[in-house]
Amino acid sequence: MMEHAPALVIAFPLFAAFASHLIGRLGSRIRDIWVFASLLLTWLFAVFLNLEVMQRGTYAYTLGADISSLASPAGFPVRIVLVIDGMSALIAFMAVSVTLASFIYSRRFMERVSGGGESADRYCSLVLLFLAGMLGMGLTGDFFTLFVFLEMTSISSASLVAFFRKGSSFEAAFKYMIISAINALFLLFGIGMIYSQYGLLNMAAIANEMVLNFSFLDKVALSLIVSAILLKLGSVPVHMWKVDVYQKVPSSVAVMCITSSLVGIYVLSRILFSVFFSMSALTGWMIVCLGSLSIIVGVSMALPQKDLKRMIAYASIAEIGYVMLGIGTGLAGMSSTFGTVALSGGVFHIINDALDLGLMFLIAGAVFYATGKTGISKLGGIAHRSASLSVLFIIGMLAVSGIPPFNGFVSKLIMYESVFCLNPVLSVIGILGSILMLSVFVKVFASVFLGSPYKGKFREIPLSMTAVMWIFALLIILLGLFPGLALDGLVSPAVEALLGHGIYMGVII
Amino acid sequence: MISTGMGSWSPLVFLICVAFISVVVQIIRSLGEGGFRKEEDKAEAFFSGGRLLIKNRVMDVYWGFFDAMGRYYGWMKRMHNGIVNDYVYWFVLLVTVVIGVVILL
Amino acid sequence: MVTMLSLPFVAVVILVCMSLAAMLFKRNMIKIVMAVHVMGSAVNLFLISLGYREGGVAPIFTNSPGGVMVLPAPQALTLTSIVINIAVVALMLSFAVSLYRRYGTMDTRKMRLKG
Repeated sequence: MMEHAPALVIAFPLFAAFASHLIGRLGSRIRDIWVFASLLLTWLFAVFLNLEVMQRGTYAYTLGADISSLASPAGFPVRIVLVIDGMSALIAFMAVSVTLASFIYSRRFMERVSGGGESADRYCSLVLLFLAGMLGMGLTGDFFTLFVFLEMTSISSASLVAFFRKGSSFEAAFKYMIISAINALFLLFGIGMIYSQYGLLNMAAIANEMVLNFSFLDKVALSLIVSAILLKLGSVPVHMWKVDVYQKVPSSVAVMCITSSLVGIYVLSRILFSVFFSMSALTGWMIVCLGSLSIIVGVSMALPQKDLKRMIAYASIAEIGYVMLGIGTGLAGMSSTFGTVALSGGVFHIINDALDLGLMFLIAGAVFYATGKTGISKLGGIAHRSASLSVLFIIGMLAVSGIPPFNGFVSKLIMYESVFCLNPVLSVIGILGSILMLSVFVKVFASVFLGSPYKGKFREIPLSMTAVMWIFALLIILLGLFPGLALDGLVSPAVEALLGHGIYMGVII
Repeated sequence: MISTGMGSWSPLVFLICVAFISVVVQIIRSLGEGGFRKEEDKAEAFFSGGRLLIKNRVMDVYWGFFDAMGRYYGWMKRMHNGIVNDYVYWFVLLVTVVIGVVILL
Repeated sequence: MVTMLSLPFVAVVILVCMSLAAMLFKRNMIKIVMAVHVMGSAVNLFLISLGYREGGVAPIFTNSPGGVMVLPAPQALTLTSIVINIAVVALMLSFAVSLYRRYGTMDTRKMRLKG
């Protein structure tokens, strides 16, 4: 049973998604228990994958083969192959953990916001489908499966964007769907170009072929695939859809959307590190430039926003820019020490982003739950009504803007000091971005939480929501005080996995 | 202690420093004048020179920044106009630039 | 040189350019959805013509008459991609219909989320 964990970790949420609709007929309580149990099981599988990777190192799982570790029986891979290494196991673990937290948070949240019943069934199955898509994107070893899972995440998350059935949420969903359809088609176009030359779809096998001859068509395919994934993760020139989506999606799903764009970062780095590594200097500089542009534009556009969730969405664009900065420097300085350090900063920042921005969105959701508003100028004096919410906001705010004892600072410091070796201007942009980020959140804190006590109706925030937010906050503090835990346990195997393209190819061929 | 490329970072050292500095701050504060009363103007924010656009709201706290960066924000506002055709336009632009960069360099 | 075999690829380029032009310049939401579908068909055509071998037969090994076969993988890919495309277009059309009901317009320039 456990040897099939890589397949089961994707298959189980997929099955649970469709089953939850049927089980929902039996009653909402039974459905909630079912969804929770299946998420917990998936989480255990993901933990198991991490432990397995620690013991065995990188390994492949062939779907439908007699011997699952034998990826290419005829000298080339014929089946769909999942590759599990430090990085993909980390991403899978992160996706499942965030979904589990978001589901616990969403139970009371969605009850209040959507009224339960039929729509809660839909919500559960869409969330599980979204999770299955993210896991598939994280674990897959070939291009076409990547395309399929990418479409799965886009379709399920677009339906979740339209969940509130308001005009503006349909608008955001429509824009998102157009953008992700174009994105997926460009990706498929690039995949077709690669297939036309090598007759292969497996990433490692393609990388193996490309070592010998890297053609003109490969370059075109590379640019199509890279720009499609940049669109998916919302880098700067193509980030506008993201803000609309994050503003309109329910807050519990916004946390998962953050995770899905981090999975997009993973896919980008997987493709650039393991497949197109011969172009690493050029692509690295490209990612670095787009990343620093994302920091500048994201932060400066967050400043004038008037809606809490829209503002956090712009902040998330800037934070994604930091991850891109770290990973791009890792690519550009692939064989040097500073490149490795920057890469570990970038990978650590992936974890920190999911925690920090996740906490911010959960707080925005809690404010919406309590007051029914998200406009910054309509709120004020929340601190008088809920002290714990404001403490959480302070923790999240300091962590996002990279202020010392919290986790955001550690990864950002690692990046400032290693990106400096590539070009000093990049560190300046990074530090400036952090300062502006703090100024954004200070303004929001002052206008939402401080001031005369909130006069409108203030609903008590239920324990399940507060508990999830405190778990995020405690993890932020824990990773801030003991960053060595994450750096040694999770980040350094992931960095080794990304840099070791020889091992990655060796598993398949 | 974590090495961060060109330096190192230890949260515990930082916390000890913060504790030490806050003790010093408390000592200095306790030496201060005891009889301070909050009068009309002493606690008010001081704004000097220029037009004062602030309407005493927290939202306007960075009005000077927005005033100085007016052209940038005007350009940004035109860029984020929320029309789906323009989203596609930016994507097509990105693809062209990326293809150009990858092929030429 | 444009031979008979490279004609499908020319058609692919023309279709992609047409759909991109429609997405950039058409304001009607339904027309944008149509453009997405045209682009999907273009990519499908691309995949199918990649796998085509001149004079090839269907790639079924049992009772095959022998000779050249067309590649099986692109056909499987195209089938998947067609299904996904249908789902995407259906979802987009449903969004467009709901949007029309709420806003009373099909014009993308009347979108309200901005800034």
